[in-house]
Amino acid sequence: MRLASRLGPIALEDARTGAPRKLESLWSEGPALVVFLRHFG
Amino acid sequence: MRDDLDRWQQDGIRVALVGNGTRAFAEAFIEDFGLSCDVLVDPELVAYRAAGLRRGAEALLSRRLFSDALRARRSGARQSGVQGDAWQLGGAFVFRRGGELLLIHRAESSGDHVEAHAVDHALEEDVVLDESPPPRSPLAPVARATRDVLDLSPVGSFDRIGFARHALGFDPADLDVDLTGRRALVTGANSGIGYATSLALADLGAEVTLLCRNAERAEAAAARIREATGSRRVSWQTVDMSDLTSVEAACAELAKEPIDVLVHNAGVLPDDRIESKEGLELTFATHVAGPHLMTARLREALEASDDGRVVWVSSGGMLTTRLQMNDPQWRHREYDGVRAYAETKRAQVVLAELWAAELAGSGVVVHSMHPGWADTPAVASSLPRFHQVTEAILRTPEEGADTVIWLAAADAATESSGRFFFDREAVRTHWLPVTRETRADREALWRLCGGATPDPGKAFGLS
Repeated sequence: MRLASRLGPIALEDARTGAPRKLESLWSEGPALVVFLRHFG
Repeated sequence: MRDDLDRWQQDGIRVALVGNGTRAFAEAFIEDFGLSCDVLVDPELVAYRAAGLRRGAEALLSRRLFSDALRARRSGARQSGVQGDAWQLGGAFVFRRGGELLLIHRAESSGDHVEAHAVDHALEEDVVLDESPPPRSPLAPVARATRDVLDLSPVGSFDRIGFARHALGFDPADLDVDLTGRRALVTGANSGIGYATSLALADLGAEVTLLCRNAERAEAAAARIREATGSRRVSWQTVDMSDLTSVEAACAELAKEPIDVLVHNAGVLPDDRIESKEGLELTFATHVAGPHLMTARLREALEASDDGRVVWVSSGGMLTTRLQMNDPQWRHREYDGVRAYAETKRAQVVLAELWAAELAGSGVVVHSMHPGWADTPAVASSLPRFHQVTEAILRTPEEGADTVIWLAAADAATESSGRFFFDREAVRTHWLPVTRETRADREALWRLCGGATPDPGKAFGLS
């Protein structure tokens, strides 16, 4: 299964606004770099 | 890296950082680093799991850990402490417009970060990658070889340390599956292991029905799963597994379509002897009578699947307990809730074996499993002292659910039937000879349950 298909529908909370954001919106308009941090801090 | 993030954004690359702490942590992080890119929070690790990122002992083990920390400190960085899940590793992905992958970097250890030049190279070359699952950990052979010896004690195996050690032996490809078109039912699905199982199965594409006693909690859980996975194929139905009439009514609806996965997860642990609506002892009714009746009533729908699976979520507590066929419903003994729980969890393991034999050749496999010591709302409320003492080492509900998910989804789980699993491996069902039941006791349990076609008016000792 393509990673974009797995990740795309997942909605995460935007840290600034609190609004849910589907990950597929990140690469819908152009290329995207998505970095998963080990942790904040 | 901060300068690189700005540079990529200026070049028209959408940059997003995902963290597993809370929003409050993320807000402080944004301020500390003066970030302008997207920052998203994933406290339940849904996206981390979907991305196949490692979680385990490697997060704390790194040859470069101390040199990286020293270098970071010399450059002025200060880390106040891990804000999020200390066991979780990160990664980075570069997507083309539309979602094709140009770069995959899954961290192997805590100091393993993506290099800026690798991102630049991926963007410049624009070569779409073959998306194969991540490889097994290089420590997998060691983890598997030492498992039997290191698992002799529940401490260090049932707890989160045990999960981290066992997970080193997992094959990530096992759950690189697409469950689209498959239908799964999960009892006790609104919290804990049932919720984590439902979430993961929906995430893998399955249509999931949450079977819960409470309609409001069921709807709330279903809504959370829909939001987290983006799936619309998440529904719920009320059923009280201790109430045979309720089970019959639910099954009449559920049996209308083929069923691929049935997970018997609902559980109770009362302090005092309580009787169900029909007069059965509550743990027996919930763990034995209800699931047995449901399996029988959904048998045809399971057989209609080309890959039917039944998973009984038992408990490690049953390992020191014998199948109790002399007063299984505590009519003549002084009630002990923990013991009643363990006895019925032992009965579940035997029933899984008996159903596996009954369904042999039908295309339906039946397994039982135990999740280890997981930090679930049920454990916290039913075993407060145990929860208090062990809280620091308890597994997450997701870790407890891992083997349920694996049994429900992985091809490898269909290679056998009637086995008892722990952390994706079939394990022994007895630690002590004294817990072994006789053939007569097994036959008595099957008879008590009414066999493969239970009559609710007569089965389970109701006649």
